[in-house]
Amino acid sequence: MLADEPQRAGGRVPGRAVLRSSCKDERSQAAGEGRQSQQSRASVSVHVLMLGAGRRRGKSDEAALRFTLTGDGRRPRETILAMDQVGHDPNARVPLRVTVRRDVLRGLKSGVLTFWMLARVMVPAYGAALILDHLGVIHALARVAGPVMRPLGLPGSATVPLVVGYIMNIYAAAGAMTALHLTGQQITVLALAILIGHNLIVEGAVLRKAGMSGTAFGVLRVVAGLAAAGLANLLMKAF
Amino acid sequence: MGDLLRTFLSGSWDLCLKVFVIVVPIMVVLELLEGTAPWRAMVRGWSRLVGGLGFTEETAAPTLVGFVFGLAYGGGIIVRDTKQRSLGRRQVFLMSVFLSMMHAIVEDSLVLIALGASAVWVVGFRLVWAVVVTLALGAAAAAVARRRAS
Repeated sequence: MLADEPQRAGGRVPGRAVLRSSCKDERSQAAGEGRQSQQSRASVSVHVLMLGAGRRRGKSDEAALRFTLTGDGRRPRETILAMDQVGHDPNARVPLRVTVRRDVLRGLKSGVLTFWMLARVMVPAYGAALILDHLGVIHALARVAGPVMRPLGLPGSATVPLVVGYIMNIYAAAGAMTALHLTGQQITVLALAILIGHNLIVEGAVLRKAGMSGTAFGVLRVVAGLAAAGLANLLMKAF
Repeated sequence: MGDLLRTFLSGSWDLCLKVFVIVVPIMVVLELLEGTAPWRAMVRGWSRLVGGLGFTEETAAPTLVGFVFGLAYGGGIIVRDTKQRSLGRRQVFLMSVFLSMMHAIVEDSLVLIALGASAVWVVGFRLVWAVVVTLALGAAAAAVARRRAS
């Protein structure tokens, strides 16, 4: 399912929807609670920009929260998260010292959580790659893939850094590359293929966390990387 | 076997240390930056740049992070934003395609330029390639979605 959510059907850009709904809310709110009239259309459009970008501070939070509650009430968990994040009076001026402290603490917390999430994915993947290497699977793959290298203007041995890069990472690939004798053009062509497709197991796991297919993107990166390398090889020969 | 285990343990430790040292400061800096004027200006400029590819402003921010810091490190922010901000599936797809073709623009490119790869090709050509592939797959995905809808 690649289509946008049904609620947003009818070709409406989500950003626009936010603008309209929060605009209306902003006005009724201002009228109802006798707020200052400075919360006009101009300030709302700023809110929408902040909402789209990083919005954490000040009034943007209020606009964001209100949209979460009214515009997209379908996701109660996110609403709670949003309220947790904006649990202060939106009109109050928070001293810089306090916001910096709060942001640093928040950053440390989400940093450690993110680290934990990545480590749980990366360490097993690293172990798997080590075992594959130990069993000689990497070298077997390199030999089989030899003919693919010819259209790229690369020697068959170039499959070793390529496959090492696919399974391990850029650094491992760079290490394997230095062991070969390649011309400047060959290095550039091989670098392109490696830069587009590398670390497929670990990064595929990250993509899977985001809801995509790690396998499909792995295939895409291998194919697109080889295609880019081939095209670059042709272009570099031509000029 | 003992050798393999030792490599695994020391390698895992190095990997975790490196990721920790990179991820935690990035998160703190991002948390401080988010919502400030320079960050908004940066995201606005960037989203204008990538708006032509079909990205909304909400998706532009995590894409910028991945573009600069990489998929593994930026991945945390990408996953967080996909969950918290509930970006549409289409947007996540576009972002994944673009970042698959191009991420960690500074770190990864420098490693291979240091080995003798041409900077113009490794950065310039790759950027053009990423844009073309994103446009093509974005259009293909839109076509598939249209066909399914009808």
